[in-house]
Amino acid sequence: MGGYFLDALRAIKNFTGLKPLFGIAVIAWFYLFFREKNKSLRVVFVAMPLIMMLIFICPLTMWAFDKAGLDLDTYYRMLWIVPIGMMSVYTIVKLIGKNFKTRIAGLVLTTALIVFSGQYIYNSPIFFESENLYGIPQQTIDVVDYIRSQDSHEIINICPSADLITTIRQYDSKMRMPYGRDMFNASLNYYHPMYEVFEQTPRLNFNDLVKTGREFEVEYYIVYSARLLDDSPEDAGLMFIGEVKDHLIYKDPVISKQIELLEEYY
Amino acid sequence: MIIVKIVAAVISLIAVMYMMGLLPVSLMKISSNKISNALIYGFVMLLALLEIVGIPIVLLMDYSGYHVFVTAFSIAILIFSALGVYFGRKDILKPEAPISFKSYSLESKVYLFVLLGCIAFQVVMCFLLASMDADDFYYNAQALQAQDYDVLYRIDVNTGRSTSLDIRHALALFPILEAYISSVFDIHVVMLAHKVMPIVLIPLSYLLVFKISEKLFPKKKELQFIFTILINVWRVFGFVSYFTTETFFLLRTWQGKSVAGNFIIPAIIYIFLLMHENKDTVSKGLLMLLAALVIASGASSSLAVMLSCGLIVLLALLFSILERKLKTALLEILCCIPGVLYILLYVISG
Repeated sequence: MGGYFLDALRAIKNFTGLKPLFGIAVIAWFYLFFREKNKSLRVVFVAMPLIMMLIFICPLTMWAFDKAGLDLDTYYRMLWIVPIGMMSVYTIVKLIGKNFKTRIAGLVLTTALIVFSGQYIYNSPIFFESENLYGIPQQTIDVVDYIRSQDSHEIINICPSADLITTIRQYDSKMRMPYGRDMFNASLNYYHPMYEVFEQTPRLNFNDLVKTGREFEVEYYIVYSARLLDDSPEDAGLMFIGEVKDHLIYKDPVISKQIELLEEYY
Repeated sequence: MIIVKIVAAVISLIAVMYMMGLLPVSLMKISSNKISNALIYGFVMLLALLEIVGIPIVLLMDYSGYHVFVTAFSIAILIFSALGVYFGRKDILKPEAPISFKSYSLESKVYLFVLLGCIAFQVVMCFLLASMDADDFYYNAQALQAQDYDVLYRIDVNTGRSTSLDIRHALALFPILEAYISSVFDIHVVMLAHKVMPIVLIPLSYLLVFKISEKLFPKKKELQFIFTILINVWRVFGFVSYFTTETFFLLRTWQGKSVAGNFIIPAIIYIFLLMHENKDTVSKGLLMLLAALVIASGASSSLAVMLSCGLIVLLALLFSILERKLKTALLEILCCIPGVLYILLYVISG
């Protein structure tokens, strides 16, 4: 139980980032606790947040969450019930709302306070400049469109490099892959021989890659051009069909032939 | 051409939400702010219908589920929009002004422009920037697979191969709503999710914030605008971690989880503030909306259903202590029944 309690505290620490913005929320709560007279708002902004925080840090809650089979990595979402932003901003607006001068000055000062206490989201490393209306890297679109221009089959089996894995099937779901994003999730502890050969070796060995890929009927390999190579793809039997945005695309003619034979048979 | 499709999709989505929302607005005899209420209630109804229509299809149909869903959902939308238009025909024939601009003070008008500018900034940033969120790999691919294979939640997003029903996500149909809108307007689902949905979801969320501010600062328009502006600022600078609702709102606007944290949960708070304004009567319409909100939360995720029900129970009990009225609390808690059924379904199907 003590472990759950510490995990809950850790979740609060990760959630708030221990940034000053959270401090504003705590101060706002105390102000409302002592000064808010509207009973409905005392329920929403004082009682409910307090009880919710107590429920959150109670070890029994996390224990029940765990026993219910829920993912403990999502436990922090219980904190979404606490209206931290609205509670803080409501308190500030109450304080600055008396007259025109206090409103203007308060709005400017509060904006500055929030700006310096928080963090500008558009500076997050997850954001990048949008190259197209899809909101995914243009290289993914170009690679997929290029393969499609070379192959008229509806379903195509590919093995892309790691940088393309998360976006290829968002753009074209008829591209099949031996593994996907879940492979990169360490907590899932997945294993796939293709991933081991393709991504987990310091130098890519095409003979091993093709030998494994044929078990999974991989027809196209998309290799990042900077990848260190152990041998030549042509020596392993692959055909080079093009380079698109620093990605070298190879085709396995053995698998292509198998597909043709299956089509003739069916 | 794609711009025309995007504009058509946005206008149609707003129109459908408005028409559907006119039904509760008319039945509850809401006399003011009808457009804003209709849009909010209409969105709740849209998500609730999505779940009511979609869940049986997901569970029962191994094949051809998507096109059956498209047909059934279209019929449901048409019926409820028609009902909304019928009951709200007076409001359509003589609409109120969306913003009663002339009645605002100069100060309020300035704040309104600042607020609209802040909202426009966030919408524009959705076009200028893109975010590499790992969960898109699942949700967008699942939506695209529904369209391409006519199968709901039975294809592994990692490999593209058939698999058993992914019950962990199958009851949360927000990606399928995006697939539906994408199919209707012939916009690639990833484009719709990343660029079109924020145009609707961001202003809608702030509309809800503004409605809440009307309860926090009654008859003080200046304070209502200041509140909403500062919530804007809080969200843009609220990136203290990857876990807050503020981060989800701007980083993952198009995902069901963001809708849960930035619309469903605040909407529950809003409904409670409305319900407990008048302590003498219990509004049946608001109770039904609360139940619809619980169903709508299911479109986001199973955890959102639990959070919604937990919040409703907590607020119901606290208000019952405050007002010394057990009956209202019991009625509010009964609104969680759809949530309990959702969780049971989740457990049984798993």
